[in-house]
Parts: sequence; structure tokens; C-alpha cells
Amino acid sequence: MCAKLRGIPAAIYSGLWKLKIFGKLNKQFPDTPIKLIVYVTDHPPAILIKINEGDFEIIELEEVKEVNDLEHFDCEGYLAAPMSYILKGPRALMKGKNDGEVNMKNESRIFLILGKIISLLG
Amino acid sequence: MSRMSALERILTVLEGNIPDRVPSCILGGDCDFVYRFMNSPYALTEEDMFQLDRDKISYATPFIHAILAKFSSADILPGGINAKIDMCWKLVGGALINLDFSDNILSQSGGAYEIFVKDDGIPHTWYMGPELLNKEHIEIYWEKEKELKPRRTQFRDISKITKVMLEKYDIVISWGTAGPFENCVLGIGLANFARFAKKDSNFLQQHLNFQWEAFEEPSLKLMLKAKPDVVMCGDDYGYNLGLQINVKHWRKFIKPILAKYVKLVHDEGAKFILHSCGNIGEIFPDFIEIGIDGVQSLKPQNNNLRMYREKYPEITLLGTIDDSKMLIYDSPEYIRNSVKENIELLGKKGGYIPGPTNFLLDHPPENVVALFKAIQEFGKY
Repeated sequence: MCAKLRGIPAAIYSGLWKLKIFGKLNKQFPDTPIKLIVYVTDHPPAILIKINEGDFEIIELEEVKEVNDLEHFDCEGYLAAPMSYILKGPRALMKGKNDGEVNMKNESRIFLILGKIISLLG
Repeated sequence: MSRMSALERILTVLEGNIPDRVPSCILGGDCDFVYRFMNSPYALTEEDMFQLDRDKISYATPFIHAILAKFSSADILPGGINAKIDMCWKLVGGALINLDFSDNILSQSGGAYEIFVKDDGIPHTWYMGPELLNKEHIEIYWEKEKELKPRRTQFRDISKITKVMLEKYDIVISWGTAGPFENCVLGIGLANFARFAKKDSNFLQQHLNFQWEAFEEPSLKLMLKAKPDVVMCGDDYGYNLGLQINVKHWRKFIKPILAKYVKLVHDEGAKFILHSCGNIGEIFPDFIEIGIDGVQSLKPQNNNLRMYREKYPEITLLGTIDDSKMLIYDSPEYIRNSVKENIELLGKKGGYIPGPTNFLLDHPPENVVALFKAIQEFGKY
């Protein structure tokens, strides 16, 4: 078996794929293009999520080695956190941000977009 | 007899009586099936989805309630394909945990799952294996009791979802939970189960008791607060030729906990269905003893369905339509004839709810439609 994505990138892809197959990407994300990065720091690589006009792309960013590297990318927001914070949800992420364990740029947009993707993971 | 609702029909069968016609059931389907369905002539249309969205019907895999609603008649959903489904499934609850000795995110059982995307672009979720590989791992897992406790919010919408599917689409949702065998074996592995059962039975019992107390009983209690009509517990005991474990070990370790599941569900007035793959004929007498109302899956190649029907009339047989070969490779006409024969063999006196033996994967949608249309056509009493 040949897998083109595994792990976190595949999980994000899966949510977007379900929106696309039911023709809901455009409705869920009318303000495109969207470009954001999710970096689960203990489960690399970081991924760039691109959504545009009813389609999407997931790009693995092998070159991201630390959170500071995210500043060099052209994106509207990012989330960089260890998996344990992500599993516990938005409240834990906000607490992690205050504690310096989680880094976010444009968090309201991040929560909105990831929330829509996760709701269809099933 | 006047036309029954899906709920009346399902409950009538599970109570051992004869309904207006043979009801049908399905577990759901994964992304492979969704892809095929949405690229078939039966695909959900904009108009369908307008109504389904308004009713807040879930599109989530593998339960695909939105696609199952499409099988309704046109008076329920304007684009309905009139191949009625009476009962579906939805698993509820389940935590994800992180353990220091594993790189994977684990399910509440301690097993690893992975989502991956094949070259064809279709995502899949697969069980990758047990991660609690020795006593030390298991003891570290026990320390996660707090994280394994079910969250109330996971069970919040059960009543609402059940009500809409029932009242608007006439489909019963059987609420799902994982059983004690799967919760144990998916975490520690079959080899460890057998080893502990033989050489360290106290430790195995301690682990089973931990899972019951940490999340199995609390999950069931939260689910039952929503007053479901039917609960279906997934617990795969069989392989093609028999049980995966020694029957003595099943009776010693699994049966007592399964009996607690059944009692809790019955005490709340709901029916209890067990989903188990494989050949499980050896423990049918035990199912009767602990009061299980129905058994789902029952692949005909692995089970003597005629014998079950004659010897155990107390138990409703669900599924029985082979999903691994016939539903994938044979023609709609062949499937239609097979359903007719099955209903004649198993459903003459009630006690039968046919449907695919497992989740739909790479099944041609036209075969699945043929299956449910045939149940409708030949299921009249």
C-alpha cells in the first residue's frame, strides 16, 4: 500500500476531503483563498493548508524545524502546539498560549477554520 | 395490519413478534463508499443537501446518516431513491490519549489508529495495532483514568439527532458502544490477552475491571440518560471458523461484563444488539442466557444461519447479507434473488432484520440500492 499522506496531515486532509466531496467547501469557506499552517511540534512535519474556490491542497513543510521558521511563510495564521494541547481543545490551547507552550497567529481565524474541518472528521 | 413506523417495526421484531414487513438495517460506510456514492446517479443533490442541512443531518463517516436518508422515499426527501433503511448505527463517546512510551495518538482502548490518504486521494482510517504491549505499559495506561472518563458533552446531542432521524426520515439510530473484548484486545493485543488469561488471570481481570469502571459503565450510563430505544455494542469475537479466543476464556472474562452491559441497557427499557464479526455460533446459548435481543453481522459463509433460526428463535438475526464478496462482485439481479431467498429462509416468522454484514467500503452503490429495494419488495408478510 502506498500512502501519500499519514498522521496529522492526513487527518486535516480527511476533513477537507469530506467537505469537498459533498460540495461544501465553498459554502463553509466563502472567503478564499485561505492559507494557514498547523505545526504539531511533537508530530512534524508542519503543514500548509490552502483552500481556494471549492478545492484544497495540503503541503507538508519539511523545512520547518522550529516555531520561529513559521514567520517566514506567507500565510494568514498559524497554530504551533504539542499534540497533548491539541487533543484537549481550544481552552487548553489558549491556556498553553498564556503559558508559552503554544504559539498562534490570528487565533480566531485558526479556531474557526479548524473547527469546521474537525466537525466532519467523524 | 396498518403501516408501522421504522421504530415500531424494529421493536416489534426485537420483541419476538411479526411486524408489517421485514425491516432493514445498515452500519454505515467509509470514504471509499462515499466517493463511489457521490459519483453515482444516486449522489446527493443540492436540493437534498438543502433539506439535510436544515435538519442538521450528519455527513460524518462512517455512519453517513445524510447518505442513508437519501434511501428514503420521495415524500420524505424529494430526491429519495425509495430503498428504505429502517435502522442505522452511530458510535458515541471515546477519548484520545497520549502515552509517553508511544509516538501514536491512542484510542481509549490503548490501540493505535491512523488516518492516511492513498494515491487515489481517498482518506481511510485503519487500526494499526495494540500499543499496551506489556504490564508496565498497561499500568501507565491505568494512570490515565481521568482522561479516559467520558465527557458529558459527547453525549449531549443524542436525543436531538435520534428525534430528527426518526421523525423526519423514519430511521432508527441504534446507539453504539464498544464492548469489553474489543476495548481490551485492541489495546493489549490478542497474544497478550491469551497469555494473561493463562498465566496471570488476576492481572487480566484487573485490566478488564479498570476499563469497565473508567469508561465502559460511565459511557453507557451517559448514553442511557438520553433514553435510546436500541443500543448496539460492537465486540468482534469471531474469525471465519470460530472464536478468536478459547471459549472458556470468553465465558470467564468477557461474558460477565457483557452481561452487565445488557442489564444496564434493559434496566432503562432499551433493546440490546450485539455486533460481532466471524463465526460465533458456539456462544449463541450464552447470548440467550444473558438476554441479548439481537445479533448483527452473521456473514453467511461463516455462520449456519438456518440452524441459528431454528435453534435460537429468541434472538433476532441482523445483517446476514454478505458484504465481502456478493455485495461487491455480484450483479444487482443476483443480490435481489439472494435477498428473496434469505427472507424466505430466515424471516418467515419475524426475527430477521437483513442488511450488509459490515460497513460499506468499495461496494457499488447500485448493488446496495438493489439490496434495500429487494428487502422492500420481498419483505411483506
